[in-house]
Amino acid sequence: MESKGGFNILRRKVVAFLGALTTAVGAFVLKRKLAAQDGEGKSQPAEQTQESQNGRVHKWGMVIDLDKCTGCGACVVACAVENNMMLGDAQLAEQGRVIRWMYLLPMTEGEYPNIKSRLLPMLCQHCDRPPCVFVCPVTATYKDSEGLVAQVYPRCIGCRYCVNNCPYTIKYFNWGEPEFPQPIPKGFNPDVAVRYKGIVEKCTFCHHRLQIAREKAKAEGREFRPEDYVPACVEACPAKAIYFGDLNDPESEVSRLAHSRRAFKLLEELGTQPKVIYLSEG
Amino acid sequence: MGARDFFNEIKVNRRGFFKWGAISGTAATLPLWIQKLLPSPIGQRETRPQLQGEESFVPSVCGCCDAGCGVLVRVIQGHAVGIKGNPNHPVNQGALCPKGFTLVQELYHPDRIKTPLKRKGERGSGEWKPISWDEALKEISGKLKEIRSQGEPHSLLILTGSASKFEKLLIRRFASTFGTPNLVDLELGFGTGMVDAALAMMGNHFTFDLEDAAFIISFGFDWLQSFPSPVEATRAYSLLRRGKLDRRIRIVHIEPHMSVTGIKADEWIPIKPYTEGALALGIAHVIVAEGLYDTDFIANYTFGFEDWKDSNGNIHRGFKSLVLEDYEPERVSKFTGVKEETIKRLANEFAEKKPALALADRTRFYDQMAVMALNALVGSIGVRGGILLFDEFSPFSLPPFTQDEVAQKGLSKPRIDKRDRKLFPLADSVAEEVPDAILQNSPYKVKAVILHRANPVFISPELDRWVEALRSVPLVVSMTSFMDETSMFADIVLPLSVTLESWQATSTRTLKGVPVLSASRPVVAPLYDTLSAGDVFIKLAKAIGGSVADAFPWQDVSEAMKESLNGLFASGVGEPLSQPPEEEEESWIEEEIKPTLDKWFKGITATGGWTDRKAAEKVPPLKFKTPSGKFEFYSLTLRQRLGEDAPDIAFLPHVEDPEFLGELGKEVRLSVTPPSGGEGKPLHLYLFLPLVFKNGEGAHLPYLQGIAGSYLSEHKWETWVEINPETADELGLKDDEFVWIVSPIGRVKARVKRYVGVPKEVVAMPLGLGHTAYGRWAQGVGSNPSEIVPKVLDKITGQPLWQLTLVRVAKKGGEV
Repeated sequence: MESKGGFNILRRKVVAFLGALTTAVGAFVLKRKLAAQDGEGKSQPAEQTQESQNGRVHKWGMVIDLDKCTGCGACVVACAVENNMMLGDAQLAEQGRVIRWMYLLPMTEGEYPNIKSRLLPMLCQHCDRPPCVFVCPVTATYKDSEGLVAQVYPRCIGCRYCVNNCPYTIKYFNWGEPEFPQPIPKGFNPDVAVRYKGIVEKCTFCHHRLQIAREKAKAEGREFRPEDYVPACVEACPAKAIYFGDLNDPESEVSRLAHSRRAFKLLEELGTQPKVIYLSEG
Repeated sequence: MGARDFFNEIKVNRRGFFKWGAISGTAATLPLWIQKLLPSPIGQRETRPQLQGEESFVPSVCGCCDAGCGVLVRVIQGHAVGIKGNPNHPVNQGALCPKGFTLVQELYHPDRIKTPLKRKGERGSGEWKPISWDEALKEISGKLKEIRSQGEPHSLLILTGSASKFEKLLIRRFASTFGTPNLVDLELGFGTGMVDAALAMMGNHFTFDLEDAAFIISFGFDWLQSFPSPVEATRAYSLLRRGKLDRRIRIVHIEPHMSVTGIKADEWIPIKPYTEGALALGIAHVIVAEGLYDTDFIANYTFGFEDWKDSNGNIHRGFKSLVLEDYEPERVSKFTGVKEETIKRLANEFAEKKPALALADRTRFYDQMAVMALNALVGSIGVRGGILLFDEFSPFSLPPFTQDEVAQKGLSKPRIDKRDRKLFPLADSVAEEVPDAILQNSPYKVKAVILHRANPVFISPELDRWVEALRSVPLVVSMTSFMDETSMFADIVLPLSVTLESWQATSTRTLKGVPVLSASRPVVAPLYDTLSAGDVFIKLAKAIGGSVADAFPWQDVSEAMKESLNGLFASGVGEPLSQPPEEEEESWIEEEIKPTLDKWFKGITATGGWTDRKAAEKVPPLKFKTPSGKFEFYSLTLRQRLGEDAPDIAFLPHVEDPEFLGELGKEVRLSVTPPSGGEGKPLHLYLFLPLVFKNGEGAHLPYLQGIAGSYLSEHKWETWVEINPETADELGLKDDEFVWIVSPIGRVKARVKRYVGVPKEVVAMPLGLGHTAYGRWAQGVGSNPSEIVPKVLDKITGQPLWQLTLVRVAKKGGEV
């Protein structure tokens, strides 16, 4: 039949066109992924890469003073509430599958009774050379222009290569569907995406609060100030042990403290260049 | 050939590859809302809450402990979506402890009780039928009216667990006008400090000025996790470490396990449970023997240091001769396990560094007394950095009310908890005598019990007594937000609105003495058919009628709250926590210059409360509310209550343990029977209550699980037992294996944690888990060590003595 043949030809052309389109899109994505591996994400919209007052781009970092920290856990719960964290249960806890972006890492050494014990607030170190970014096959994780190591949930394919590669083990995979019995979702923070089964998540330095701070500044017709951007854990700490700010600003408190004689970084010898700096006790 | 066939031809060839590649590729470029309609994995799965609108930060009060930390709740479109500390609240200053952050989770908790419930099946069966408030109040008030008409209002027992200062006032009023003396407080003593010793030796309330101390030594008091408030304690610690760089002070912590305070202290000294008092007296001995005490303070402001003569010419022993004769370091060292050199070193340090602060928890009475005595010995009382004699800040007062004849008769009856001046002389309530009294119908039968946020079927020694007791009472009413194990035995459950749905009011002082009233309005409207406790009592009183109703004339709890603060308002001092919001201020200006109670109350509740930051500028003078008007090493208050024929030793700090006295053959006042099952030598069981499970609450909130015990492992939801590695080796125990902990009255399961932070003869376990109800995240998680603790009460304070139990460890699956 004539029409059938004509339709067949049309069908072939449509499929070929769409196939070519898909290939083109795929090539574009691959190009961006390669670019991201250098540590330079060009994927941010223009208005999010603003320059600080002295013409330099911000580099967000954190300092945690272990001399002040009492291990109370307020930061852990504040982070969970702010970021719509999965709830967990006893069985998942047993399997080590309860996700907490911020948690307290115990470190005890010494012989009884001369013991030295520490509680270390542990979170994503937002490395300048992030091992997780280097291995992601789909650029679901990348480092943005301000140093934040980001996670793009819809892009993540759940291969867990990044979870494996992170030496700090602070990337978490959702092995199951996080359950939020009603009416818990009523209390969700509307600024933060709720994660689902099969993707990886981690601390974002409360990046949503940065976006909000920038929007607020714009709405109020003023410049954005670094002190307007306060992650939830920083705000929560009763000991004021967590500091946050611009490491590119030599006058900022985090820059000053980063050069303290008490300052150290975790697993520094691996060359990950973490942007969370700890201050030892004493 | 149609569209359906087009999609159905899935062939694994080049054509099929291009077909499906094209479909997926195209789908990825469609808008999100269309993608959501497509079947997964083609469609998107990311979900984002859909709230839009302006945010506002509404003040509220945490309410998890008496500190009443101020919180700011982020509200968008009537939903509470975030929470942080109120920076203007003097106690927490913008921060919060882990509990405060869970208020939103509590509000939207799936296991909240949504309507009043009436028991359908047997008590404890968990079968309920929903009823209306009208029905519930009618039934309860009917029974209560009946009790009154029988002339037996005293047969109503009210048990309170957690209650704010304001709520306590209302409940007391209700009990009083109804005519029952049986208002019993169930609050656990863990983390509340040496309040009994303060009462006996100073007659005052007090604060301890951590921030400005020069040396802090705590005896079994995990002050970083104590109340009120742990936020303040943490801030003080932070200032002590980094706030005063020119003088870094030493912090010493003495406890049978290395708690959080032990970890953060400069020195942790292990000790056997309930030997802290002996150690304190050993230190006192050295200070006295070497003449290191503050002679000026002792001479002018204390009584009972030297031996004294009474009006009949009898000589009474004083503190000095007591410690010199009975508490030499060698004897104390043998009993406590602490080396003699350590005792001498601590004594010298404590006396040398001024002001030095000695702290204890609400432990055995005489142990508290011994530690409090240390503060007096070196003159750390009434000075910055020491014990400050601030009165309790209690701004709530309601107008007088009538007690009719029936009420007066009822109030003249003795209390059922045996709290009287001779039996438990310093007790406010002796909660653990209640179930025995009910079961024995002594001194009379209890006909009705009202529980307000109280859960004695969870943390009490010998729990079964409570179950049996509740089963035997004709009417049991439980006021609670969650179905806990005690409420399971109720006839009627009255659901309470949670913190964020209620008017809040409580009062406290900061450790520096600044008075704070925390007060706030509901942040969101109640989600369910619930009421706040105040409203319940008002409605109940009105339903009972007569003089009871007259004492509760208000329409709702906010009216009562406002009236109760009239005194504070009229005093004209202080200010709201911050500037009241604009709209309110404008109308303030419009009206008279002098604000009304109404306007003042509006401003206070709009900002989260009231404070007087100048009130604590001066340290309170050294005026003690004791019979002698001085600090009493020898407590005349106790002597008045126990009677003059009791021996001197009963009014002085001392150690009564038979082991210490070397009189093992004599009559043992504290019975400690070793268990029969299990292996190895008996070990001392040391129980502690982590911050997140304060007062037995918190296990129902998933974000709080995994925080307790963070010094041992990450995010575990379980009850563990800390065992010294050497002891564990002797018993052949591996880390993380399950064992039975066996006491004379029972056994409980626990997970072994080999921990260097516990002495060889001690095993430490946390309380707070092991619920049999209380929601899906609490029920069946962990185990409850209080099940294996025998009931032994401190005979001065009436508090349960938790640390007397000897246990053995038995492997699971082995013989018990």
